[in-house]
Amino acid sequence: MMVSSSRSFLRNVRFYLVLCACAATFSHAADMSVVDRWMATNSGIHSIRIDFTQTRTMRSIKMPIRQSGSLWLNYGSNQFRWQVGDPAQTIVTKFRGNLFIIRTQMKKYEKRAAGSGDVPPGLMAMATGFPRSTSEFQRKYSVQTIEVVGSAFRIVTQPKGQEGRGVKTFIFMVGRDDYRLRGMEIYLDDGSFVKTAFDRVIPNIGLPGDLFTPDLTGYKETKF
Amino acid sequence: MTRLHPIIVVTVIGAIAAFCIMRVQFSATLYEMLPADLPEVQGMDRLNRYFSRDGQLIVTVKAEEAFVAEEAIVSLSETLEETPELIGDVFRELSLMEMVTDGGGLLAWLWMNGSPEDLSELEARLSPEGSRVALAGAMDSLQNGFFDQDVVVTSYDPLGFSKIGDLLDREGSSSNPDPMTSPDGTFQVMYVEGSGVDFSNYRDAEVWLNQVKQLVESWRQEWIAIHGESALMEVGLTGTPAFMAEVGTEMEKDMTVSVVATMLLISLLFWIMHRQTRPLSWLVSAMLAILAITILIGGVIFGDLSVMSAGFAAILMGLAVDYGIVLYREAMDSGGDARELRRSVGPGIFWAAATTAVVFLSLNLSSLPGLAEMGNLVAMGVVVGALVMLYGFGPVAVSFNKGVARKSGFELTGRGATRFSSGILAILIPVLAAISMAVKEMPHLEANFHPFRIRESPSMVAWQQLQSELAGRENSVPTVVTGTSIAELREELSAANERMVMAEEKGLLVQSVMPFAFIPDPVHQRKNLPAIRKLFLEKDRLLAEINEAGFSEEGAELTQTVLNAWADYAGQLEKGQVAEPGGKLAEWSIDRLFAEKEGVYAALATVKPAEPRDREWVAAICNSNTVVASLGSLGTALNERIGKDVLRVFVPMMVVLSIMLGVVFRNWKDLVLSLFALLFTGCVIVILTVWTPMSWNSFNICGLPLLFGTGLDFSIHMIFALRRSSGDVVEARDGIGKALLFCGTSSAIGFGSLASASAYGLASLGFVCAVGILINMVVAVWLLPRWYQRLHHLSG
Repeated sequence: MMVSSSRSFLRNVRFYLVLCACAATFSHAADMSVVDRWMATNSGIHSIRIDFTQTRTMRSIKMPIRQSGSLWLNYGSNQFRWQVGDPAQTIVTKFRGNLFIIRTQMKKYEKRAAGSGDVPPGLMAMATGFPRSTSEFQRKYSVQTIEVVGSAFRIVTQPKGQEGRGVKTFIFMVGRDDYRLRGMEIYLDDGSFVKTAFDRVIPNIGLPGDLFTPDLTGYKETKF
Repeated sequence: MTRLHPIIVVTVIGAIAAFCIMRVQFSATLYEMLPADLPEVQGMDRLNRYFSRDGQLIVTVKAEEAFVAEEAIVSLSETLEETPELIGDVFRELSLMEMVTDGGGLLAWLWMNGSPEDLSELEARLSPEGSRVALAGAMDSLQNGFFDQDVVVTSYDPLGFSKIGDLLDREGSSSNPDPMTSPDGTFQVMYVEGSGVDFSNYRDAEVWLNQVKQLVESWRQEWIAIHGESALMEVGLTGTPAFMAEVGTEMEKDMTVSVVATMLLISLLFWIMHRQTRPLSWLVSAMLAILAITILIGGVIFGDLSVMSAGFAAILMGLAVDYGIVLYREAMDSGGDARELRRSVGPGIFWAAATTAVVFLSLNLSSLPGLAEMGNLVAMGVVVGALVMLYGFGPVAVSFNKGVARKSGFELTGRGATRFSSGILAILIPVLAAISMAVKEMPHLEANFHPFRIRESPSMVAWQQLQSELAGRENSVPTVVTGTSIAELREELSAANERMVMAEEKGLLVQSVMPFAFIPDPVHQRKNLPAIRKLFLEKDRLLAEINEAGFSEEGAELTQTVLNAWADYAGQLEKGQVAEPGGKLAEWSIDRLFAEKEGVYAALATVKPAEPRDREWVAAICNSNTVVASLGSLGTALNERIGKDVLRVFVPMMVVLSIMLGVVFRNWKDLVLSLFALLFTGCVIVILTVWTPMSWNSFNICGLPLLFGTGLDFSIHMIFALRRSSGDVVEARDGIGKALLFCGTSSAIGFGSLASASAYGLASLGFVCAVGILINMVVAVWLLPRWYQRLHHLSG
């Protein structure tokens, strides 16, 4: 049945590739030493806070949308919290095996099973933590090219497996001087793209206990 | 006539036979061989009749990575579309942009076909107050929401036309996974509509399929040349044209290979026994003539032959050659003319053909139409064979043997070994059989459907991969509901739904999905017409509001498509028609769930049984209008049915023949001996079944009456020969023993040549019959004479 489920019509729709990338890049052997050195900077990091600015450029809207937000990652407990707006307007956090999408102004939240496939492709990387070793990186991403753009290396990849569905390219920007992650870009099939620039990165930050388990008292569960 | 060169004779008659075989049309439809009253078989029939397209090929691509599979399927679809002489249309999963431009027609239809209550909710959302709230909410999601698939969808559908979940959930149509791509994206499917040939003809389908295969192969080579080894992927072709081409050509191959192999082996056997080539060429020609005549008559009576009937030719060859051998040997011995020859052996051949024909005709009592058809063909063939041999080969045999001194030939002896071993074996084999059954297992029927499938079928492999890769396909069973009108169809659907819900409550079903939302509902459509007209009039306002809210032209495209489609549907309704959805996506979706043919309306639902091989769930949900195309339960159903058949056919046959044997022998010892010989053969088969890979299924079990018939036949001949020779084993073996040796071996060759047949069932039938006949032959020639001596207290 082609059209079936509720969100059937477009929910199952995948982010299709425009497929304009040069096919020959499949077999391109990139210089992985950049990735090795980037991964080496992860050593000794147990938690992190990233303040970012995200720009969403979509074909279906006239003007790009710019948002600021923060991301907290606890590698030890495999938890994360992503939020935009100040004060937070949308919070996404993972706890008790579920992904919670919380809209504070609407006082509503949606609960999804983590790994249900409803989690956005590409952004899973941001939500669940970046790869911490070259082998993990290569397991998750197929590197197409690594090029120098200004003061950064531009690592153009294609996510492997389910996370790669519908993502045209997933680009990591890594500083040429310190090999630290500066930001990333996700290009989708319909021509839309999301650029996330890291404004500030604080490693091994103390994380309050309730950061990943926000109080949902007074919130109503819904399906956004 | 016998002066003709042997090669000319064989070539001319062989060419005629080959021409006849070439003209045979095989039916590639497997369910036509099965009992038509089973709901599973009716389900396959209706699924094929209403929802299958002869020319629709399913192309699958499997790659290591999702992006490789995705690019490959797009590239391959573009390549196929470039050959309009072969490909009429290609349907693959639509991209988001294609969904937006092509999906509006289906969405509009679903709203209009749904309940007025659902539409009123949409009306409220599209009202001047509601639309502004909806648009503000959509923009808020884009600005502040977690950037996921829903946000992207919302950006193209700010008024939420695609939020039809409540409508589908309520009617049980939801929760269907992606039908075109595996969850990990590494497996993709596209549907290809062929063009340019008549797909109901499997030979045309095969030619077309080979051209498509060449196209795919050259594309694959080009792909690897461009992308390298890292982008390797597998392409599979399945669906109706692939199945048809494969089954049809395999059947042709089976028939040709088995006939040729049988001919060669029988010729070799004849040459070993008689060391003559010229009569052999005439014997082969006579067999080819029998085959050609039988095929011609069979074609007229039965039309298309089924996959199982492909085996009849080899069986017929193995049986018909016996008449030729009897004639030839008699001509050698008697030295008379053709008329005398017919007078002396004609009655025997006639009765032998008649009894063999009756045994094969008894297969009509089986529930399998395919097996019955094969039985009828063989029965017809042996009668034709008797006539051709008596009136065609008989005179030839006489002319070859005129004035020729009889050759002594080889000696058939057990060298005394059977004198001692026959008694031991008579006890040992039944005891071993009993122990085998007690220690290991009782012989049983395989509980699956593979006897009717083609072995090593690439299209079946691709189909099975499709079932396992696409989420939710495993164990799902297509269920066809029919009615004589749309109203009746909807009633039947509701009733079926109630039964399915009850079956789910009882734990018989895991899930059921009904296609209510996709079945045209003229009542809803009429009721919704005023609201649809009203909404269409709001088009300019809604588009202006979308623009003002910050959405681009692309962001408004889906809304525009939906509103335009409503105008079209309103026009259809105003003309008194039932509105039909427009657009490629709508056509593709609805055609797979709803069909109208020859005044019957059909809908396709899906169920997932808890125990697919069980039949309780079938009984719980099926009636004359609701049937399931379930291969799992079909295996069980066939086993039940065939088990009953065996009892129904075999037991009465056994009783009648025992009485007849009593009348024929008029001696209880000979009657017991004859039945013991059968029991002995049965024990050997049991031992082989328990300790070797030889197995029984719902098809080859039907070979039991054939084995029973030949076993009885052989024992009667031998017992009468022993009576004539007053128990002289050497004399009996030299006469009837040699004849039985040739007949048994040639029949075994005929059946055995089917062991390599493409269809599992046919191959297994050929194998067990060949083994059984050889055992019957060995028992009759070597063991039975010694048992006869013991029982009658005669000296060796």
